[in-house]
Amino acid sequence: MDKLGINLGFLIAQIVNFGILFLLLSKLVWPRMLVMLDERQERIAKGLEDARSARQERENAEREGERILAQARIEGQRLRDEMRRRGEEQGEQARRLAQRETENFRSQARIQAEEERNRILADARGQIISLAMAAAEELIGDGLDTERQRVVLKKFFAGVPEGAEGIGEVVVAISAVPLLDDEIDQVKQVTGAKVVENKVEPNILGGLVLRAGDKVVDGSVRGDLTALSAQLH
Amino acid sequence: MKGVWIFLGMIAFSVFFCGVMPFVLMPDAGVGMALPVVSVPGEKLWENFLGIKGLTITNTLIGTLLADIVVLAFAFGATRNMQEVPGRLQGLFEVLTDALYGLAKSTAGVHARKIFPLMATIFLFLLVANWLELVPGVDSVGLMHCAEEGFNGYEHNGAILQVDKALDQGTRATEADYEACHLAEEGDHAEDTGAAHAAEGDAETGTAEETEAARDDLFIVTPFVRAAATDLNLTLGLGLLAFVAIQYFGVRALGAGYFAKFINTPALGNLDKKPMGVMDFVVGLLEIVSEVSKIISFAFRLFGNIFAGQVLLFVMAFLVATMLPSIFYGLELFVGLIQAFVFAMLVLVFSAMAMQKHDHGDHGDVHGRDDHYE
Amino acid sequence: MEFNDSFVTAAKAIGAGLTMAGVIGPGIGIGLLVHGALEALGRNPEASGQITTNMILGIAFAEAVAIYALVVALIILFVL
Repeated sequence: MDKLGINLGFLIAQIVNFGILFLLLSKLVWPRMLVMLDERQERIAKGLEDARSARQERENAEREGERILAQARIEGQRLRDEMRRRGEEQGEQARRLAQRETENFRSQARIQAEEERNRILADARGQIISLAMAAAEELIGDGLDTERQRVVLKKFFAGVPEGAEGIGEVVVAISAVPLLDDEIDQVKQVTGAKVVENKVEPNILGGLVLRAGDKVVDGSVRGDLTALSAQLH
Repeated sequence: MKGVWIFLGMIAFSVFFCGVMPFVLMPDAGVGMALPVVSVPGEKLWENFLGIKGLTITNTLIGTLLADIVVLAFAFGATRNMQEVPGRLQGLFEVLTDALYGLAKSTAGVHARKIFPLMATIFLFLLVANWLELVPGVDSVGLMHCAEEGFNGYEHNGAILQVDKALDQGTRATEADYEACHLAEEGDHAEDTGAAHAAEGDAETGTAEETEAARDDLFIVTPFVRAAATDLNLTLGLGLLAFVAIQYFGVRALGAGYFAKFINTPALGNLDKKPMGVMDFVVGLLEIVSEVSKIISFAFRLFGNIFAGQVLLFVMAFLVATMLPSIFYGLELFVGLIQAFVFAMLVLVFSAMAMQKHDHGDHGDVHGRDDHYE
Repeated sequence: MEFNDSFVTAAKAIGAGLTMAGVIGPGIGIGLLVHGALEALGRNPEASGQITTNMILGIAFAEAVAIYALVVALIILFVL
């Protein structure tokens, strides 16, 4: 043993030496070091985690921004289209409105013009008719003397208008000149009436108007004229 | 072209330093190189150091203390002023610690925190101690002594040994030579106080041996510092510590049940059901042998590797003075690292194995239960 | 006496040399270990850390035998 250098004193010295070294290091160095390493590892892990979440957030934000941008673009496009469409529509509408208005206006004007013309024409015709009637009355009034009156009455009796027969028991016979007795008889014959009352009204110009209650048979010249005038209108 | 010049330069450098320098220039100037002393025990530098009786300082002890100082300086320097962003020293230390702790975690799992300080201290200390061997001056600068019996001695010229003969021509010292030399040396020292005594001693030995009292060619160098792990005291001490630590970890983790690994009484429990339990018991006893031999294994693996490395470096340096030793320096760098790592790793693995619930007891129990169910 | 000493020295040297033949086994063992480790490494490069660690451990165990031989040789040379 001695020749190999193994010696109890040296052995103990070496063990004690290493023991002291071990105690010093394991009390003062290793724990601090391990704590430090653990802390650093934690911090690195946290840092990585932070970086990852930050990157994720940034990506999210970018994606969001992109989305918003795209949306805005689409919205803008939509708005532009909408505006164009609406503009076109409005233009169309305006044009149509204007057209319609014009049309309206035109048709209205035409109608008015027509009405005006009609009215003027009607007025003119009325006046002409009135004038003609007045002239006719004048002519007839002047032309119908008693002779003529009798001829007219005879004509009446020759062609008794419809409705005169059986008109009533009591008949009022209106004439321009007073009726003769045979004429009254003729009236009685024609109508079948028992009582005939004669009323003279020069207004009717000529002929005879038979009235029984509310029934009237007009065979007067006035009536003919009125009918003519209505026909002319 | 550049490469060719560098190559030629290297050749010229080698020729100069390997041939001209050691064989022509240095002997002419009276400077020689001594064959290093290959000695297993640490060489004694000072006996009765600082006047304390029995306190002997060997050069391996100095190597150990130097390694201690370097380790402590490194560790405390790195952790004294710890910062979030580490400086170089702290960064280096952190890398080392991190790697070792990762290893401990992957091997020992939950027990890593308990084993780690011992393992890391062993690694750091052994790494520094082994690499100390490679520092220039270690193993070469030292005191001159009279060669002890059995060693080749050399002439000395002032402060250095002189070798101008072939290396194997040195004469081996005998007991009588050593004593004569020692006496002469003491006489030199004593010349101030009493020259007469020295003369007397010289005369005595001269008359006794009828030769020159103190041979001039008896001197060897004892280096001040030698790699700590070339001393069996250190490696054996570390082996014992590791052994004790392993048992301690085992007992702390498993309680008294830890020793069932060695004295396997549970296996003897139901012999009638399971006669092979005797085998288990004997295997348990063998475990004791294997456990104790771990000490020897630890001690001599480290010692053998580092000591062999030291001898290898000596031999290479004396075969070719330059260039070639550099390659072996690289090898020794690797060996030193590997041995420190292996020592720490084995401590870690053995401790982890001791802290695990070992198979024998459980196995026996499980088998016993199976048998019962059958 | 002189002859005897030389004889003992020679015997020591021969014995130590023969003892170192004991490193043949570990040499083969380490070779096989590294062979296996490299093969495993080639098959499964991701596990390089674990393989290397275990390889070094295995080498250490195989080397232990060589170390015993070395120790015996040293004892023969320096102690006997």
